[in-house]
Formats: sequence, C-alpha cells, structure tokens
Amino acid sequence: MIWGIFFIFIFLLWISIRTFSYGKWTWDKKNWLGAIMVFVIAALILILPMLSFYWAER
Amino acid sequence: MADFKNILKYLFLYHEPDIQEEFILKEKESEKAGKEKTSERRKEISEDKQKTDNKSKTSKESHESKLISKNLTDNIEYLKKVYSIPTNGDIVLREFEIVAKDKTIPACIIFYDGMTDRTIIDLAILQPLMLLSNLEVKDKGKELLEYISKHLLVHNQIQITQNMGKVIEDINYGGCGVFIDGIDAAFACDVKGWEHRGVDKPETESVVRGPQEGFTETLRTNTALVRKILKDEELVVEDVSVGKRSKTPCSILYIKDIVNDSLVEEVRRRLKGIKVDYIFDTGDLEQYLEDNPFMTTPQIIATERPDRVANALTEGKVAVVMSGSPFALVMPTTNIDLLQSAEDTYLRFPYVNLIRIVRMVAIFVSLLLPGLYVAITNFHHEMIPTDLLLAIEASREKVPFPSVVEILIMEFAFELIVEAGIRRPGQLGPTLGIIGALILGQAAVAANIVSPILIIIVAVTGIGSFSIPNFGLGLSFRLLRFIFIFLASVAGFLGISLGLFMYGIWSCSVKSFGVPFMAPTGPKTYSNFLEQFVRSPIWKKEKRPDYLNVKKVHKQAKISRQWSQDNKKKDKQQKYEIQK
Repeated sequence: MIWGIFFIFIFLLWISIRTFSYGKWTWDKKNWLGAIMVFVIAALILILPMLSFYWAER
Repeated sequence: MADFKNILKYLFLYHEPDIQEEFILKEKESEKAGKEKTSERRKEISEDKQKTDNKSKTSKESHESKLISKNLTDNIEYLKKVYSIPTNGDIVLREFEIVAKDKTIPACIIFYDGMTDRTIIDLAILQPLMLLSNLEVKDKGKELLEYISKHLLVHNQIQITQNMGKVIEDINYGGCGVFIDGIDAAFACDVKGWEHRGVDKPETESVVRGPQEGFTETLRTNTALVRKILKDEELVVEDVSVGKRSKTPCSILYIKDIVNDSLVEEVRRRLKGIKVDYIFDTGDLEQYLEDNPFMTTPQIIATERPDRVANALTEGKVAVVMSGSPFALVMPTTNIDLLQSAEDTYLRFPYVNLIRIVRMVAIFVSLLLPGLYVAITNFHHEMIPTDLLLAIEASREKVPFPSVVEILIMEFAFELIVEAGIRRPGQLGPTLGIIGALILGQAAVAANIVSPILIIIVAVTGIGSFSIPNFGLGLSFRLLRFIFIFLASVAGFLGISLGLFMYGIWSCSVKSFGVPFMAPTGPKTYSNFLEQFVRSPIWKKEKRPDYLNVKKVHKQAKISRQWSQDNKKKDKQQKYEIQK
C-alpha cells in the first residue's frame, strides 16, 4: 500500500507540474481565465488525493 | 548534462504540439482553403519521400501506364508475361478469328476461370464474334471498333479502353478482356460469376424485431441491400480501390444532400492515402482509417446489418463497404453510438430505455466489478455490510492466495474458455463452455483454489461483457478490466478513480473523423442531447445529430403524426357544433 501510494504521488506530482506548465503557456497566450482555471486544476490534482489520505488516516 | 536538462524539460514542461489536428469537420466552405494547403504540402512531402525510397519501379506500376498495341501478338506476349502463362493454371487465354468486312481478323479473349460466368462468355461474347461476324450490316462505312461494339458484342456491360492497366484491373476482378488485331483498344467486359454465399441472417447482430438480412462478401450485393432499404436517388455509391496490388474494390456510401461534404472528402482522402500492397477485410481497413490506433475503444462502427448502415446514412454519416468483407464501416462514431444496438430503432421507447439501463449496468459490471472486489476485500472493508464481509472472509478462509492472484487466475481461466469456445467448431464450442464454466469452476472451489463468491463475480463480469452491443467495445473492456484490477490492487478505490480519470481524459482527447469521441457530452451539443441517453418517442426525433454538421438538420416534420392533429381538429369542430 505504501509503495502504491508513493508511486501514485510521484505520478500525480508529474501531472501537476506538467499541468502547471500548460497553465503558464495558456497565460502567455493571454487566455487569463483559462490559465487561472488550469492553475486551480494543477493544484487540485495534488490537494484532493492528499486530503482524501488525510481523512482516511483520521 | 545538457541532454539530461532537455529530457527533464521534455518530461515536465508543456510544449506546443507541432502537428495540429489533421482533420476537422467544417461547417463553412471558406474554411477549407487553409486546411487543404497543409494537407497538400504533407502529401507532396510523402510523395517525394516515396520516390526516393522506391527508385526501381515494379512491373505492376509500369503496366498501369502502358497503352494497348495495334498488334495482337504484342498484346498476347505482354499478357502472357503479366499473367505468367502457361505456369498460371486458372487463367484462360483463348485465341480465335472473327470475320468482319470480308476479312479474317485474329482476336483473343482472356479471363480467370472460376471468377467468371462461362455461359455469358460463350453466349454473349464468343458466339457473336465467331459466328455472327460475317452477317450483312447495312451501314458498312463504320470503323471496325464501332462495328464490333455496336453490332457484335451483345453483352450488356462493355468498356472500351486503350489502357492496358484498366483491362488487367478488370480481369483481376472477374472481368474478361477482348483484344482484336489492328485495334489499339480492348473491350473490358463485366462477366463476374464466382461462387458466393447468399444473403443470410447476421451472425453477430441478431435482433428480435427488424430485418433479418446481413451483408455478404459480394460488394454489389451489399450496396444493393442498402439501396433497397433507402430507395433514394440521392444515395451515392462511390467506387474506390484500395491496395496497390490487390486493388480491392470499396464503395463509399453517403446521401448527397444530407452529408457534410468535408466528411466525404476526408473519407475519400484517407482511403486513397492508404499505401499498402494487399488489403483483405474491413477489419484491416478500419485500422488504416481510424484516428487513434492506440486507443482501446473502436472509433469506427463495423456492422453486418444493411438496415443499420441505412439508418446511419440518413443521420448524415458515411459508410464504407468492401469486396470480400461482410462488414461495413460506419463513420464518424461517438461513444454513445457504440452502446446502441440495431434494435433500438425498431422497439418502442419504454423498452429501449430499460434495455439501455441494463446495458449501462453491464458496462459498469464488465469494466469495474473485479477491480471493486479487489479494492473492497483489500482496502475498504468498511464499504460493505459486516455480515457480507464475514461471509466473504469465511469463504476465503481456506484459499491460499491473495484476492488479486485469485481473481487473476479466474479471469485468465475465463478468457481461455471464451477463446477456446470461439475457436472450436460447431457443437464443441458450447460444450467447452459448459465444461469450463461448471465443472472447472466447481472443481476450483472444491480444491480451495478460489472462493465461491469469486466464481459469481467472474461469471457476472463475463455475462456483462457479452451484453455490450459492440463487439470491439466488449473486447476493449475485457482488456481494461485487467488494468483496473491492477490499479485496485495497488491503491484501492483511489487507483480505480485514477484509472477512470485517465480513461476519461483519453476518451475526451480522441476524435473520430473530426467529431469528438465524447460528443454530444464533451463538447456538449444541444440538438438531440438527451436522445443520446434516453430514447424519446420516435415522433420527437426531429433533428439529425448536431455534431455531424449536416446539410439538412431536420429529418421529420415538427408534427410528424399529422393524423393526431386532424383528429383533435375534428373533435373541436364537433364540440363547437354541438354547443351551437
């Protein structure tokens, strides 16, 4: 289980960084609102699984 | 070091994709110009590359441009070389003489034995040429070519050509070539007459209500079956040949005044752009045509029902039928199309809705049930009632394997039974299924290799996967099931959610001939949005799917049951008269 979570976390981190990079590209293209939404998604990709673990542990 | 930095940049940073989408279903004529430029440029580049790759031209390519000689002996020598005569046993080259305009002229006929109708050749081609050629014809001033074609060859389908490649192509597809000395042209006569299977019930898409005819391996029979259903002069059957050597005849079917022209253009472009020597079946063709070959879900519907093809054509889709294949390809396809069966149109709407719910459950079960079992038994015991949990644990008490190994053993065993059942002929198939399912399952439980509840799960999953109407989608889910079992064994529900998330993203990124695969949900289109999920009464289906951008949006009048309105009017009138 621990290893599984570790690998999933690494995978999610990679997705989040790449999504953030996409957000920056969107920002550079002057799609402000779209970029902000992509940043939110990039953050949620990490935050939601972490929260779910936190709740599961409690 | 610089390479490592580049790899990291490539992995972690987003790059603007170099190649834009190859094809988008267009609505306006003005949009076409820009797109065609890029596709033409790409075509030029690929052609240049091909030219450098294949410096030596094959004999196949050379005879396509060869002209027919006036000298019959030259033509015969050439044909003998092309058809490897006399080594080739099934080709018939018959030399004879005709008497026309008081002259004896040598001639020859060439055809494949077994692919042609000998009676037609004897009665409609050889007999008139050999016996009737010396008859008196009033207009003696005619050219020999015109005289033969208009007075002697009584066969109904004849083409006069000066191109040797055209004659060879016709001969290869069950025609015959007639060459006459002194004429630099040949007669290509259509005398197809090979043995073929008759129109039969569709094997893989049987229905209770609706037509019971299925496609066969003969191209013209298949196109005729569709034309017979539609009875519309706007239906176009456009012939295209695929395969550099085989030149397999295919037909693109569409309704001219409904379909989006850019869709037909794209299908035509893709078919003509297939560079392969031989092609045998629409199964091969589908793989050459589809947008995303690595996607597990099929992006083109393969059907053996002419009525289903006809129905798709009326919606504004395009179909491709191919000689030698009893399946037609229908494109573009969305995910909802894969969940609908041919019977959906013929049954009344309440039943169809019930069946659709059953199908949705079947898909859910077939894809996720084994994964859910693994996730619940390993990570989320709190999800199920305690009594059930105790029952599961009690049944697993003597099983020595973890639940994931247990389920993988049974899933593989089930796949083996399915595969063996398909490969065994005739009556052996079902017998094998019974032996596999009942006896092996019973024995596996008795030997404590698997738990009884697992047998139920595997059986329900198997039944679920067979309830999916599209064979390709069923196969896709059989494959994905193993991935979900793996994900569930690694991280429980989180793994399953991750899998669904990834699959969702993948599906959303896919297009089928310019139409998003998840349409009408992603992106949402308004016309007939609900219709895709819930079947409304037939008189409510007024519009064609919005995502196809068809020429004619409405397929029936706003009030298609006009008689019901007439009745209402009559009732009102009667009431009014009574009141009066």
